[in-house]
Amino acid sequence: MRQLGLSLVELMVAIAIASFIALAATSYYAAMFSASNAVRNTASAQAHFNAVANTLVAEIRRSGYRGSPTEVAAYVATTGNSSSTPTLGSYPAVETGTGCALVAYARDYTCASGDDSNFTECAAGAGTATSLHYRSGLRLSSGVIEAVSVIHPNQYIGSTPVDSSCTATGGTSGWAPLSETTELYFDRFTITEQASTIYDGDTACVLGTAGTDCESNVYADCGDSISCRIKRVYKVEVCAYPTATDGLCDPNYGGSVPNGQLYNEFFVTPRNDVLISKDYSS
Amino acid sequence: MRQFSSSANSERGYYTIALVVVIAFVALLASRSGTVTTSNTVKTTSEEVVAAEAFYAAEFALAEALIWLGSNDATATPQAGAGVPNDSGNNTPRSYATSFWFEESGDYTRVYARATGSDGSSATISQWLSTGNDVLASTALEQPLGIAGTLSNVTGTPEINVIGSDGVLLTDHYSMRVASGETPTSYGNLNNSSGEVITTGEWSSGVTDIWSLYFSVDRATMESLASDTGNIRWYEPGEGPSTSLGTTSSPVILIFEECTRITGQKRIIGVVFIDDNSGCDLNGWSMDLKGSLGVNGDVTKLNSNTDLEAYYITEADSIILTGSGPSATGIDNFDPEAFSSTVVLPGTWTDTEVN
Repeated sequence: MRQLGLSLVELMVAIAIASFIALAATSYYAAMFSASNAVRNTASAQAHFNAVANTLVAEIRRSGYRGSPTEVAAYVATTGNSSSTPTLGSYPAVETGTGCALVAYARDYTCASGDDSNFTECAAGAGTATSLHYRSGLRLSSGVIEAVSVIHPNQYIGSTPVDSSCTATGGTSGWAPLSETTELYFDRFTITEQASTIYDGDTACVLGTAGTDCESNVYADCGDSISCRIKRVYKVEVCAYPTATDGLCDPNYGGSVPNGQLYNEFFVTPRNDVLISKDYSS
Repeated sequence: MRQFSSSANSERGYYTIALVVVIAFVALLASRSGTVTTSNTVKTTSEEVVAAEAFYAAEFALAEALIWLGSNDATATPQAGAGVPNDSGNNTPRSYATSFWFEESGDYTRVYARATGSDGSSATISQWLSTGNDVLASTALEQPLGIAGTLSNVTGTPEINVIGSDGVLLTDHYSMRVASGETPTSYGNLNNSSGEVITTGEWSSGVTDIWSLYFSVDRATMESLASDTGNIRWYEPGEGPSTSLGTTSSPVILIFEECTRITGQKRIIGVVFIDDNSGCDLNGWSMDLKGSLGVNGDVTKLNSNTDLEAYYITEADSIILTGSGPSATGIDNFDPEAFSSTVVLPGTWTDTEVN
């Protein structure tokens, strides 16, 4: 018996079975890719989100570092004088603004050629090993977290070449995006001083009571014990989601929570207490 | 039975197989690509968590270093710390080996602490410390009682005895120092019980503030070094110790902003400094001090109720006790270098300037 080929029925059955298998396989692969993409996107978003939180925690933790004991003493001396209110000095450890946090800490620095006209610490010329204060920070701008890390503007003898303030815009702005709205839209970024404990403050003052603070209180009524150490706790709130629409964040994860929302609220304490002082003799 | 006799049919089968293999390979590549991307993203997240974890382990190492310093002299000897265990109930399959070492520089010690994870992650931090012995000036213990002004109104039979470690009265050391030209108005019956000669010296001319003769750091620094539980304590007006403080191996420095009366026969081993230039009325005090008392003003009403007795035990050590007559028996000398306070110097913690 000769085999001349497949009959029409056989061919149609074969095609139907093949189509069914192909359809099943396609659905399987589509589902697999979809799930894979979802996992990848979630992990990627989580990574971006964590990067922001971890960066901020690390920066706040190291804020207020002034260098060696000698440098600390010199810095503390500049926070107070005999005639005015003690201040936080030229390089406040942490500064907060709306959707913005700036921290300052010292870092080793080797003076480059021409730095003698920029920093008094480099007066001895290029190659001088010294310590300069740096400013780092994060801010929220139109759904994007931006970061800055430059030598502190107050370190410069003249004007600073880079604007690192919270409101910096334009060509001189030192801020650069840390996130992308196509990846994650940051809807909320707040940092607030949650608690402040003052050590060594003079109880003759009203330190620690409502409306006053160690660095803002004039020591006219404090007698002659005039230094204090402040330990602070900051509360940070970050909220983001994949949708590039403002104001959708739902911290309570209620019925209106946007799909893929990432929300975190954490507390962080600088490892370096704030130190301020005032001349004893005043 | 159907047979494939023609080679053409067989070749068409090969095409089908080849096509299936290609499609499968492409699908595999696509699947692999997605998996690798996802895996890398998850791995990045995990590494960030590990990095943060390593820092906290380093903090643990630093805490260990401080504890170690509390019972040892600060040296430049590296020390291996205890590892941070991998708790079986912990989701983190990592353990950390910690170590710490010291770098001494002048009056300060820098502590380095490092944690190295079982997966190779590591973090190193550093913190400057000030040790308590560095804040004490060499002249702080040269006399049992130092007065920035003068001594007056000595009544009764108070004692400021200067006694050697062998119990023998010493006459070649100052019992007290007063301001230049400020001879005490009257010694009254001072040391009447012991019969020891009172030898009064004077500070250099022009010295009106004896802080720097007791301490090598300024007030602001001292206050920043003080704590509620450490070996350096700073008392606001009206405040004072509620218990005895200090041991011969771990003496204390107590700074009083005002002449707050110390009562209750508390034993203080170390240095008490009353930083009140308006003077100090010692009437009614009841303190058992082994070390030295400095008053940054005049001292009045030193009387038998005050009952101060001073014992100069060695060249550098002195003792002031309440009670009458020499009674230093059983009290060991303390080494002024034994101020073992290792206080954290604020503003000196960093994880950036370390390797």
